[in-house]
Amino acid sequence: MAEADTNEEIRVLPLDENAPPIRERRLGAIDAWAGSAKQLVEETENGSLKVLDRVFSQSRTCSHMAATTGGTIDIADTVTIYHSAQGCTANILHRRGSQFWYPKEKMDGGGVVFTPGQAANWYGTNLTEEDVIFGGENKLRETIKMIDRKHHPKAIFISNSCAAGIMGDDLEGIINQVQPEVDATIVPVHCEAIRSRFPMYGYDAFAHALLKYLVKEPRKKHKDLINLLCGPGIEWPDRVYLTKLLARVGIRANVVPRWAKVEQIQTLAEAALSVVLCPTFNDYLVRGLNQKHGIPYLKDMQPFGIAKTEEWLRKVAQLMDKEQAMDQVIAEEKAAIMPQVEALRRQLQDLRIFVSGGQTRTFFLPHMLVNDFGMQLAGINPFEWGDNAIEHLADLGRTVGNMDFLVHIGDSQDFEMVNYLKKMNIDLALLHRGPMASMFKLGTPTVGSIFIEPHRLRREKDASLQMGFKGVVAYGRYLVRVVKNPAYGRKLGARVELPWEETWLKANAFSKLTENDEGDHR
Amino acid sequence: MTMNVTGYKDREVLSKILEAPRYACSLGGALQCISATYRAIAIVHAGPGCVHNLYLGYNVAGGHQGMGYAGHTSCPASRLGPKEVVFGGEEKLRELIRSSLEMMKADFFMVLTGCTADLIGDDIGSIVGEFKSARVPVLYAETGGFKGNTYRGYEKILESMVDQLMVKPSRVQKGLVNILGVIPGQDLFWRGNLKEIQRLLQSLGLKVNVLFGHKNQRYGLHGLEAFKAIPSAELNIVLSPWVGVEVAKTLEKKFDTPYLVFPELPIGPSETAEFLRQVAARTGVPRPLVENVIADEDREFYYHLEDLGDLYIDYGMQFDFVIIGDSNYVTGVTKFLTNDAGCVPFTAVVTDEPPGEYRAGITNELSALDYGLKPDVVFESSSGKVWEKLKDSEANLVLGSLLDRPLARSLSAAFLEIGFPTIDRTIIKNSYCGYNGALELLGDIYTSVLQTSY
Repeated sequence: MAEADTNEEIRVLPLDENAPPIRERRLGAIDAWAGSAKQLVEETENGSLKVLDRVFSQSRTCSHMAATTGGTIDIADTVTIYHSAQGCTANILHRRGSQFWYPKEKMDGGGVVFTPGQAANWYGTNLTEEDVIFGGENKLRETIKMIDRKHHPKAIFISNSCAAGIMGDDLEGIINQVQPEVDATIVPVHCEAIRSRFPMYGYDAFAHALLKYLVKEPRKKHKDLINLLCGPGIEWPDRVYLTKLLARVGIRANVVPRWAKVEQIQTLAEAALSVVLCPTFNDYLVRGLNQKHGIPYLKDMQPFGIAKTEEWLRKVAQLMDKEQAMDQVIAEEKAAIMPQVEALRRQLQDLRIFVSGGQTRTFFLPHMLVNDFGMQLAGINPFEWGDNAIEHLADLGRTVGNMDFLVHIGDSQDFEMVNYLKKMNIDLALLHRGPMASMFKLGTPTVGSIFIEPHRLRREKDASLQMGFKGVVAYGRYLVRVVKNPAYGRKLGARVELPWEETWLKANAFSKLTENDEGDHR
Repeated sequence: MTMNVTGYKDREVLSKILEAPRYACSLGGALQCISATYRAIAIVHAGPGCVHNLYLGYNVAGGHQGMGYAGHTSCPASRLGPKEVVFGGEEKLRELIRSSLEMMKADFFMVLTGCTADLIGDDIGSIVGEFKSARVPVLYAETGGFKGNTYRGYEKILESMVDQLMVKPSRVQKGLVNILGVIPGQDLFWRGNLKEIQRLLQSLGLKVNVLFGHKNQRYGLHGLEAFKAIPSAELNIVLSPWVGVEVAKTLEKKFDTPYLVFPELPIGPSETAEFLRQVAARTGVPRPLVENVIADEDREFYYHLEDLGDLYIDYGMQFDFVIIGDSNYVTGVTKFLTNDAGCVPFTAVVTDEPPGEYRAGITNELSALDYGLKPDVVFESSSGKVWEKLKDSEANLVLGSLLDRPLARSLSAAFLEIGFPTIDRTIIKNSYCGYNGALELLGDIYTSVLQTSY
């Protein structure tokens, strides 16, 4: 059982530096490995886990995208400058749709700044060959001043790209020079993807920047206030539902950073507790808040499934001294959903499943699938693995009843996943964008392990989507829909040609993993 | 800190900064071209997220185009990181090409580079050269993002094909024409548009090489074969006032293929007839044949327009419209809506950054409309400036991209997405060009008006 681990020995974060340490060093993170859960925990604990490379690899996200699309862009009264060539801003376009799907008036910040006049909330410095030679600093300086004049944002994020990083533009120098001339707080984010092989490093760079430039010393402490920390994979209905449950026992939640205003970031140090909904995303932020402002945190529990939701609510309540009142809430909520969960279980039990995604989805979502629906976990594919995840995996092993299931560490490496999933006889694959489409083309019933955008308002308007008690019902219904009628994928699978040679699909899926040239151990 | 000497003065600096533009980088354009090519696979030598980033941009926000045969996370990528920035990425690329050839099924591979690869100075040409005797062609294009935008990426792909793949044919294939200037993904309707162009030109007895799209037995040319066939064409047809024009000039120089620049997507009966006549004249299609085709198409088109006429009159579909998009759409749609569909052009915003020498030509095209009608023509790719310009517009119809929906809402105008990025509609084989596409466009506009309630 995880504690609010204020006493846990944590590495000291260099919060005054320009950039955080990379995950390779800070968490001993790896992104290439395959074996059983048991073997992974053993190797991690006895120090024999090796850093592996791939001779063949495929694209996933990067830290620049993680820090912007997953971070800065969703803070309402801010503007993000992509200090980059033009292509880096393309990613954000796929998220603009969500601006129209969200109930804008309900959001704390009134939605992201995005109306004519106030305009879009991102700019690109559009680095060119000329800039590569002469430097992009002047361009950046002028962009900051213009945005401040035109939009009057509370903060201006500068997200640094690979190209800018290699060119060596001096962000801090520019900021020191320009800050006195502008009203907005300028926040440099050192998220260039050449720093680390882990995209999730971008979350750390984002959190580091928030801690260094925006979080203020508390004016006062609120005993009834928690920070509820969301990541890009946590959707609006979940957030609404969980905050409602907490409010019923008198716990207020400052939900950040997604959908928040700058003021909500600035007051993070005023809460009594930080509660994390997505430990990968918020790892650095809660550790930093703890280190700098002494705020305890709850990070190693997630409200997926009935048992874990119950545990999570009780723990939050206990830490906030509201335990008794919470018992009542839990009893009522649970009673309300049990008949529906029973019905879902009858339709889903014994199906063999595989779950891929970030650590939140892979380590925590299966508790729901196994406990509440009686599904059989064949394996998981977390994008990264590090010291911070040992307890999460061990806890999952207790739910499953063994540690024999496959753990494949890799961020959406299609070529490996298509290969082994094809051999594993999976009834239902819960995957992320990319491999999701490939498996679907193979005819395997496949769903997004994260609820996809249109569903969140149109179908499950008043329910949670994945989290809490109601989330069990909503997500179960989603799975049942997919299992009930696999027609689309089956017929497609019979016709589509995949780009893989038969020899590869027959080969050992993990034969492209190689020892790192330097023979690195963690 | 050291003051940096730069190439720009402040004012020039601000003109080069882009607020929410409607295109990506040259890697983006290049990737779209390869993803849209039958059994072609891109091997991307770039930072870790470039392919995924551009996928989410173009394939999700491009009207949900999908990952294609081997796009998105299927696409081999070297994911350059801290190690390669210091030691170079050449060995990594070599291994990646080798294993791609071993593991993947493709008719050809195209190595594309991103900013990081181009900045660390890997010698792509010589590494790719090592694979000369591979079982399928391995080509390359240097498409680092800082080297240009989407449109440049499209040109770079074709330039690479010219240099590395195409050979001068012993004879010209009579009746074969190539279609240039349409960039898959940047043109959301590329599938449907190319199909409509193909249909029309085939009715003149021509064989039409559209380069992109899936294997289609009826038409013969696809994938590698289509690109190889480019030099044997009788005529190159460019469907843009500028995108692909330089490529057409290169092809003329190298293979003596003449070209025809039709400065827009031909949309609707007037411009499509003009297009067919021009192509016919350049390819020796007999006059009676082309006039017959036009008469047939025209009759069919006006059969439908007759029935739509009730709605046009009943609901006052004579819009004052604003259009924001790539130059070939802006020109084509404006001509159709003005000269055929009885609407009034207010403002035409060209967002694809045509080089200076092409701008007067585009303005002229947009100024030579029937009944002396003439929109304000604006060249601007920074969305903020576009919206600023239009914030008091009295137009009641906005044709643009996803980014312009809030503008339309604030003007209480009807709205239709016709360009990149677009996320709240799916574009499958829809077309907005030729005769059929013009009907579809008009139908979509009317539907959007009927459904608009802010």
